[in-house]
Amino acid sequence: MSTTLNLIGQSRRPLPTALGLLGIVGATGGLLMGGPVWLGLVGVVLGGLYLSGTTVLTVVLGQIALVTVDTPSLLSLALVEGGLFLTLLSVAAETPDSRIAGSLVALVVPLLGGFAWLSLWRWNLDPLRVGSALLVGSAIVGYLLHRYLLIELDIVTEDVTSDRDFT
Amino acid sequence: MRVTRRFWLTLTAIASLVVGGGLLDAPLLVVGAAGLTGWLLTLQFAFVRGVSRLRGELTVSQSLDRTRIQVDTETTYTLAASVDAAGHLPLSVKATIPLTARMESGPTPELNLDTSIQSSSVTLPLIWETVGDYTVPGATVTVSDGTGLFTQSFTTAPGPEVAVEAPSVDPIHVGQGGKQLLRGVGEHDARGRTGGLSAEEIRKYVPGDALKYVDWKATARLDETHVRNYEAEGNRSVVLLLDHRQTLGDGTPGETKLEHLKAVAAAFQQRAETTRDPLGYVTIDDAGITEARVPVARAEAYRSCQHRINDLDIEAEAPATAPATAAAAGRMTGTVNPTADTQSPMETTLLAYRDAAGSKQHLPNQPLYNGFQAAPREIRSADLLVICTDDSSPSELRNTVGLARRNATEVIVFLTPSVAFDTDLVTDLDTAYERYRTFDQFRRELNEIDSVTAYEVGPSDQISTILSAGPANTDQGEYV
Repeated sequence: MSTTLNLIGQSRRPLPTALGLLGIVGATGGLLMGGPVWLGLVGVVLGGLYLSGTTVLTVVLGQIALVTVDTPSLLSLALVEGGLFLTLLSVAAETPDSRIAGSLVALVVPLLGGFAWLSLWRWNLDPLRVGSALLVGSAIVGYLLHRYLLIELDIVTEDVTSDRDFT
Repeated sequence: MRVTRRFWLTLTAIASLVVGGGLLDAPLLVVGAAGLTGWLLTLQFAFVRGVSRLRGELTVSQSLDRTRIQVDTETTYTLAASVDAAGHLPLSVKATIPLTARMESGPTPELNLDTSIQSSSVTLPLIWETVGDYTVPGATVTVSDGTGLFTQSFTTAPGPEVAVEAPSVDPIHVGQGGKQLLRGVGEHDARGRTGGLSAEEIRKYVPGDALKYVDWKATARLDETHVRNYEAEGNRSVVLLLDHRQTLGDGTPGETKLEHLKAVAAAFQQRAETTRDPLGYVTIDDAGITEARVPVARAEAYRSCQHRINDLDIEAEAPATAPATAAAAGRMTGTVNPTADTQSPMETTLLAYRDAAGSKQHLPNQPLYNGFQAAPREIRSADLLVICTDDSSPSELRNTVGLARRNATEVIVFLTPSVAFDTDLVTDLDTAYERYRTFDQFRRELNEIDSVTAYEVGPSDQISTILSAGPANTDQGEYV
């Protein structure tokens, strides 16, 4: 019995966590600027969550912490949202196709966030309806991407009936 | 594309923000949910793009060091994967080894190419356990994104093909009177007979020619009776009558009489498949017919015959008594008949008359004869009957050939001389030589029957050794 394994590879540079940590620091600063001191503790938790690899929870917790601030100033709001945005951007920068993913995150996240902002404050739409519309729209786009990939890989054809063979 | 548990957790977090924003009337939570949704869609898009690109850059190859092997032989299997460009999505390549191949190294071979690894390969031994033609299925490539949100699997093109064959014995001697047969086993002329479709030549009529082959136009033109010879159709039905009784187990393990006859039968099977001749078979052991298939020219029939030949083995236990054997066959009548080998000339003659009269009388202790007699009509009336047996029961074989000649156009008998499979052959070569002469006389006797050809089959070295003890000369080609 002889099993051999040959590897040829190139070393990859360390993950760009600095960007994400910078975002956490910015978000914590924004929270401290508009809210009580104990929100600094939240900043520490945010940093811990980020470093443990749960970026989504970091963003969710940061957003909830922002809500606890009664009337955040525009600066503190911008700092928190900008910091959390950088955190999300750092994850995209870690992917193999970092340039494309990073550019898209930089484009889509502010776009969708801004659209939601306009819907809620300018057009005074119901938050639940806006959120539901957002989820349904993203589900449709996600399904189309899924379908496109299956066609690209010749797993299914453009003919819908071929879905029956897909497992 | 499959989503992971992490994806569902992310989606739950987004939905929680939406619901929380709605219930608490906190629009900021919905804004956060919108940002996360955009981020999720972006990563999905990046993954789809990365997989599409990877499909073109990934090369997966599977190879075997040999394409034709014998059962239980080890081959070297290599699975290699390489990606042209660095910085690809992390992926794993998992091979699917056919069930008939055994790996000694344990788990299924798998390669993992992290984002920084461009090529990898694994080599391991495979042992093939079952005869047949196999194709290694395509490897399964599973790609995941760096964030652990999505995975996608696809299969590559099928791998190499391998033909696994039954183990063959040492060089086999097939011939007559110690002289090796020059023509390949299983080959036959399709010419020289009347009947068939395409005309070959016109020749003068000779007594015995059938009237239906007279070419009346040529006869009128040449003012002399002429017949038209036809090129016979190449596909004629072939039936293999394979004896696998206890006596066929003589010889050293792996070099038994049966193993030699199986090689001959396999040659006929391959030949029939090549020429698309309808092929059938009957296998007979001490209890009677063990399996029978009527001749048909279908791929399944050739495969069935091939598998039957490969699986053919000697039964573990011999029947206790002759009557028990007959009872097991279930075809014995209550008539008491003399044992075949103790028949007097008168009994032999009378039995021949009875057979000629078409009687279905079964003979005691003659499973080969009884089995062939009980076989379906399509088998008994085949164009060519190939009998593979030994010389342990000459009378039975003589009766079987006589019975076959009444139905079959042609009979070929392959006989294994028992003397050539004795392990203590070298101790008394003179006796062995005499036994071989007795065998050869019997073979010649069969060979002299019209449309019957009898060959001897055995290990080349043993037959050479026996013939070397001959009084006149030691050249096996000169044996007469």
